[in-house]
Amino acid sequence: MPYIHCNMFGTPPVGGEPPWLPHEPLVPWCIEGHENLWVELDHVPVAVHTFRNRLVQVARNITPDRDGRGHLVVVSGLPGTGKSSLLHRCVHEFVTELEDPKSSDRPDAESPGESPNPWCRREPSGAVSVVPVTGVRNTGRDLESSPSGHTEAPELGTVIDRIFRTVVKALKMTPGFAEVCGPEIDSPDHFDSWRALTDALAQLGRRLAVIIPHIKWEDQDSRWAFLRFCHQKADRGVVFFVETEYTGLEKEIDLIFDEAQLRGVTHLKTGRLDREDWGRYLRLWMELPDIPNPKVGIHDDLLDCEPAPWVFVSIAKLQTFLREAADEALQADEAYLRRSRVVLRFAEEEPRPDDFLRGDPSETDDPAEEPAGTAGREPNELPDDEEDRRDEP
Amino acid sequence: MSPDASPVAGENPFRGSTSVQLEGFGDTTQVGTGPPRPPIHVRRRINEQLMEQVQRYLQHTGDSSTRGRVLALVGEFGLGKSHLAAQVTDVLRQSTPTPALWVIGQPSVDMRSVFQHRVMSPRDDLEAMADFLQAITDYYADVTAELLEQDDTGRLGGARDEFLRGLRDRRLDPQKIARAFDLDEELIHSHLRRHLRGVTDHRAFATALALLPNQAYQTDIFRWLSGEAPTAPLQQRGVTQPIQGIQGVFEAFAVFSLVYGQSDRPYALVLDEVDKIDEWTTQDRALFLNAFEMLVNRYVNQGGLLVFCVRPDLWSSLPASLHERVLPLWLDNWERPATEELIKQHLHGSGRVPPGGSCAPFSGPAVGQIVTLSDGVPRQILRICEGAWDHAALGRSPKIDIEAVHEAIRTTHEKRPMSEAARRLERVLAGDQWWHNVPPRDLGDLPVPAGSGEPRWIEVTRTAWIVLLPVRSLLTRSGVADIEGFLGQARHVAGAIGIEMLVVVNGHACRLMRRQVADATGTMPLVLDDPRFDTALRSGVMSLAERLRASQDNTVLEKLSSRLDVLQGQQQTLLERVDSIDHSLDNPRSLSPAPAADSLGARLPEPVRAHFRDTQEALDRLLEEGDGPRLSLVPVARTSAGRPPRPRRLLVDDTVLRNMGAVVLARRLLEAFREAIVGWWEADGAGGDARPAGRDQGELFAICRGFEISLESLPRLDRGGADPLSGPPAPAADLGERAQDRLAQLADRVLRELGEAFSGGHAPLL
Repeated sequence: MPYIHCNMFGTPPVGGEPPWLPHEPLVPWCIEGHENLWVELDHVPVAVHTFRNRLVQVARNITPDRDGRGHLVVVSGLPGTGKSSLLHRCVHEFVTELEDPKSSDRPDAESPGESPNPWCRREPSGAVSVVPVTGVRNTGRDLESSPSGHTEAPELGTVIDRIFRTVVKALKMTPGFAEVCGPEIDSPDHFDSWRALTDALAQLGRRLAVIIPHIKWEDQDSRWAFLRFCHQKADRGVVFFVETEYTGLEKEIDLIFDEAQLRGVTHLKTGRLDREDWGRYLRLWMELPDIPNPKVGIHDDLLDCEPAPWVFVSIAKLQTFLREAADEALQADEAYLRRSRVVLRFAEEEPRPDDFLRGDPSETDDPAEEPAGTAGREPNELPDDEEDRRDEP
Repeated sequence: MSPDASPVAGENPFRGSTSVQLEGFGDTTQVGTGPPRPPIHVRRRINEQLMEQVQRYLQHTGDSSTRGRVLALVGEFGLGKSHLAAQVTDVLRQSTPTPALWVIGQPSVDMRSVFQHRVMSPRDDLEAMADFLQAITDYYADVTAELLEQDDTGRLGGARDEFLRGLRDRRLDPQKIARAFDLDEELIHSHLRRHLRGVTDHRAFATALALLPNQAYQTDIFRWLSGEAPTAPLQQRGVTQPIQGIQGVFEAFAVFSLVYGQSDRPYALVLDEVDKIDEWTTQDRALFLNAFEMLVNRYVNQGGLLVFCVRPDLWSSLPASLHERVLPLWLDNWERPATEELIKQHLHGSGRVPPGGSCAPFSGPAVGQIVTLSDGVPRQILRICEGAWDHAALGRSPKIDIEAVHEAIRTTHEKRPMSEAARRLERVLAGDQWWHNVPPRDLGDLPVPAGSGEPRWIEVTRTAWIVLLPVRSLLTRSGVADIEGFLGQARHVAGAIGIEMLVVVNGHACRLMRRQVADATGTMPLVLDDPRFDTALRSGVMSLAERLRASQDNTVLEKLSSRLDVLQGQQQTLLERVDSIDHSLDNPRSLSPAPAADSLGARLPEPVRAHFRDTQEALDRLLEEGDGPRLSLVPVARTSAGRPPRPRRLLVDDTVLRNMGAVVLARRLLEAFREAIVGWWEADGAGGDARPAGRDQGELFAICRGFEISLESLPRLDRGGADPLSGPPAPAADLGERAQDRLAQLADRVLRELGEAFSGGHAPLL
């Protein structure tokens, strides 16, 4: 179904111009006001508090000096449960924590929350360089693609090499970095290259936050090796924010790292929604000002609605469901999204086994035939310039 | 065909390859422009048995674990094992749904190259690839269902159970579901890998197969499954080696069998020429057999069809555990109807229609000869037919007769000149130093059968020889008769010399002819073309030599033993005689005066008196005449003047002594008999006229029987059972015969006569 020029239940891009797209993470460290769209879903505060607590303990040591420490933040959760948003939120808190006026030397630093101009691009932090390796949407496809664009099996050496090169390339665009970094930064030996990089960061007094997407390793050894690599490089003011869909990580993390190493690792989890999240989420959108037209209002009776359990599986499912319901209401020229429409949709959208019949194995998957309930998939309809803009916050 | 055209003209219908090569890949493209030759199948019992098994496999319904079967086609060279195997592959390739089929023409030590280049791999056709993916998807579905069952989020909505059932019934696509319902694909993958590890019992295969649902790996994995080296991403995940070695390749087949077997699809492996492993080292053979046994177990347990061709020798040496699981189908030799059918089908195939169901232009006797001479081996039948056809066509003969058949065999099998055959013999025999023996006297220029090579003589001992006779193909009874004649003549000329013969056929010898030669000569002929000829010749000569030596030893021993027997017998007789003389001296007859013979004779009952007299007379005569030449003490005539006459010394021969003793003993026995009869007759105390009421007929019988058995213990007086060493018969022979005759019949007569007189009826016969 084509998206109407609708701005409900989506993520505002830089500038806030419509359309507000679904399936986009909130990137508060990059776009002003995204932090206000944050819904304190049932499980999220626990994760955020965990992060804050851990960070407070270690933040002082996360410095680019020779003796400085780093950190590894791993967020695990099923697709659509808001891992990327949580990760970006953590990055934002990390940046904010370091930009505290007491310790920040940036004269023009703004205090958080005071954003007179919502949805505008936030000034890059002077204390932290944030490098989302595959852009803010944080999908692993780029890392797993060959130069010609085909998906290829992720191979540890290649992935690490690509991460190195991306980080170096991004940092070189940081003002003053090119002047202080030595020639070893382009060395094919990752050890030399990384040391040159951290030396340069130390001279500039900057930290580095690297955001790494979920990579489909499909292999325990590779997964462990990659996390150990991230942990090893998370040193001297470098913080790795790693996302993974692998839910078995919780059991494995104690085996991947020993007790001493675990002090430098924070593991956060995302999960399914709770019944109260329905009301929380709707109320946020009911009260949100400045949503561009066209839009529908949310009728109060919707709050009393008893939603079907399958929409609580993830925030993405809930968002998609409400977004499509709002689209329908708009098409029907209704001013409000009402309970009756939503209840009807619950019945219509109930997952049906017949939509998942096995096809002829030789026929290719056509995305148009995907059932409407499919969530967590990025629509490939973003104009090229839009995508480019998002990848370079 | 017009009647005036020669029936044996045009293209030879039997020309063409007589051995079948199994094709690893199904290829139905027609080659060339001419019409394809129809495949020729002669339906025999074995075909039906085999096809029945294959059809039962393909039509099996129900539990797939009871479907699996392993068939062995067991038979000698040329009986059509590969032909049958090819028929099986054709049937399998034409059946729907097409089963996955792997065909190995012949196993090789370098199994990797066979696997990589000559066996169908899933990459070779889209259907196989899709099959393979489907099979893995089935496992994926099971794992997904398992994970969803544990999921309590309600993500599947109200139709949860239906989803789970659909996944387990293989109706729903697990990957679509995993993506649509935001499942943890990494977790599914790790469960799938664990599951496949249990299923395949092989880590590398489990890793590779578990990655198959991910498109990014598919090419790499299919390449690896086709025998190529693993790519870096696969190596990183633990698939470090290509599929190689005998073990590795068989493991791959076993894994394929699991993939297809557990997803209930039919699949088959056809393995020809397993006998190749005979040429391998012991280690490779052991490896092969172990891996093969494992594969057989898998196929039986997982619902696969495995067909392999093997020769009887190897089949019987396979381990018992294999024999238990494999159903052997034995190929037998073809009989006449099948041979005729084969010939007819070839004639039909070339557009010739023989009239009246005959095999024309082959004559009836010619077909008979083909049946006999080919031993019922179809490959031989075709070769003979081809050659006979060529021969007849060359001679513009309107039909193919026995002569053409024989000529075809000679042309095919007698390529080696006799001189070459002799060289071969020399090479083999010289190695064991059996070669440089000149023929024994008088046998050097013995005429040999026509066409035979020069006979070679091997001296085993001075009086024992082996003769090796190289001959041409044995085609007729007369050829065998010639050989028999040669041997007979040689034995005749050689006299006491022992001769064994070994016939070496430089050409063709069918089983019947070989047996005939064996009947005639006592040894099986050896065929020069036999690959094991050298060994057979060597061991043949060795065992014949042994046999000759042993038989000579036996002759000497037998002579010695019989001589010793005679000596022992004589010694025994002498001892007995000395004993009896001793006894007579100790118990002189005067002490217990026996009644005079006359008086006793008079007291005998009337009916038997004459019999006793006759017998007594015969014995007396014999005693008077004595045994041996009449004795004479006339001095030896003087030989020269002045010398006194030389006394003659009479020597008593053992035999004479024994015979005389026998006569004396017989007389004493007769006397005892007479005495006993008189005693019995007079037991009553009354005269002969009285009614013999008190006499016991049983007693009479006992007396007569006693005489008879005692007589048997005496040496015969007529020398009927005389030992052969005792020389020519003496003049007293007829006397002895008479006496023996009388004695032998006496008891019988006495019993009869007295029995009649006693009861007026017959006495019981002895």
